[in-house]
Amino acid sequence: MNPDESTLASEPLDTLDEQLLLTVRNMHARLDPVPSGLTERIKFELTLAALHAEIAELQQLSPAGVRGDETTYAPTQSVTFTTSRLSLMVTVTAPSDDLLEEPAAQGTITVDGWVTIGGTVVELRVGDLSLTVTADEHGRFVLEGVPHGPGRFVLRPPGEGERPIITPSVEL
Amino acid sequence: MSIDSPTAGMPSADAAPTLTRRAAQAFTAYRDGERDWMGELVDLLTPVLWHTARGQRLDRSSAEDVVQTAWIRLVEHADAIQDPQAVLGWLVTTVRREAWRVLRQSGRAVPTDDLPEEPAGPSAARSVDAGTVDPALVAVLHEGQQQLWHHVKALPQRCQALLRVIAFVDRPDYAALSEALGMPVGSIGPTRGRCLAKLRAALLADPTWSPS
Repeated sequence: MNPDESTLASEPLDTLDEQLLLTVRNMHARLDPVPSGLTERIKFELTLAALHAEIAELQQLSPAGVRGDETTYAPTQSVTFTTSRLSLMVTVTAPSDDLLEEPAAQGTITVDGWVTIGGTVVELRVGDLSLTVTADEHGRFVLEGVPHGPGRFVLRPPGEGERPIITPSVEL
Repeated sequence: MSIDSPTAGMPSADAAPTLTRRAAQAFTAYRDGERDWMGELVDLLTPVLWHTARGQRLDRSSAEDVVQTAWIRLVEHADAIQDPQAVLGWLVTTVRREAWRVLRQSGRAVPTDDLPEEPAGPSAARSVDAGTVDPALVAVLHEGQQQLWHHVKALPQRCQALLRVIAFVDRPDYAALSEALGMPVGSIGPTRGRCLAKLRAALLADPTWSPS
């Protein structure tokens, strides 16, 4: 290190240094950004860790819906999740069925579901919002007014000491 | 988010909550049972941890794993952290250790600052440099940033790693962060320290550089 650097090094930080570091920061943020979705993946991992939850597997995703005819324009999605303990089937309907001219992205959706264990408490997390419903004795449940966005289900089967089950995130 | 706001011109440590202090608040709330605050903490600190991992020359995929692991360790050990102000330093240290473990497992060279028993010479740092970026990417930088990039790349590896992380925290946090990165006391904060002095000298000597 030359004497100039020694002197520079022993001086207190000034505003030019802060400016330099800000430029360094902008450069790195531009050149090597935090991967998109990383913070969401971390939050999911932490939720899993906190719940000691089991992850359900995404079994089937049918964006076309069950009714094949072309007149059924409303986006319908059926999804099945499974674990060794239970299965969850959900169908997502946008209430634009009879309002075709309205963009489907506006407003909310309805989630109809069926879980193989009756009485399971079903929680749907979309963004910061959490909606909870208890499935009936046949395992049926309905969630209305669900916003669009990536969402995941947390299932708590009835009974003491049952581990919760969490699904991967699906676009609703 | 406020993390992106410039810290330049901040008159004193008490004027605005530093990253350390905001992290401490979120962590305290989390430990008091307000679990949603963990999400805030993740948003707040992940950029620093990402650049810590990348500064240790991990590739992007390994860096992701290491950052995720550090967060899971935090949740597992939340009760063991006595002082909430220490949470940022704790995470940075954990990322650094995990990065070191991954590099060692993969048989790659470990950054020299983790091997104090070896003399740290310029040749020791010239190993597989997975943390560098595609030179083509540098083209996306502004002209001033490109100049800066060349000067930063000329610094010793440990200085690059230090400045990269320091740039994402607030001034009162520099000394503690530098310590968490395994750098000697006085590397940065309250004085300029050697790394920043080198960069500043190089830039001031560059007639084409203008700090704007």
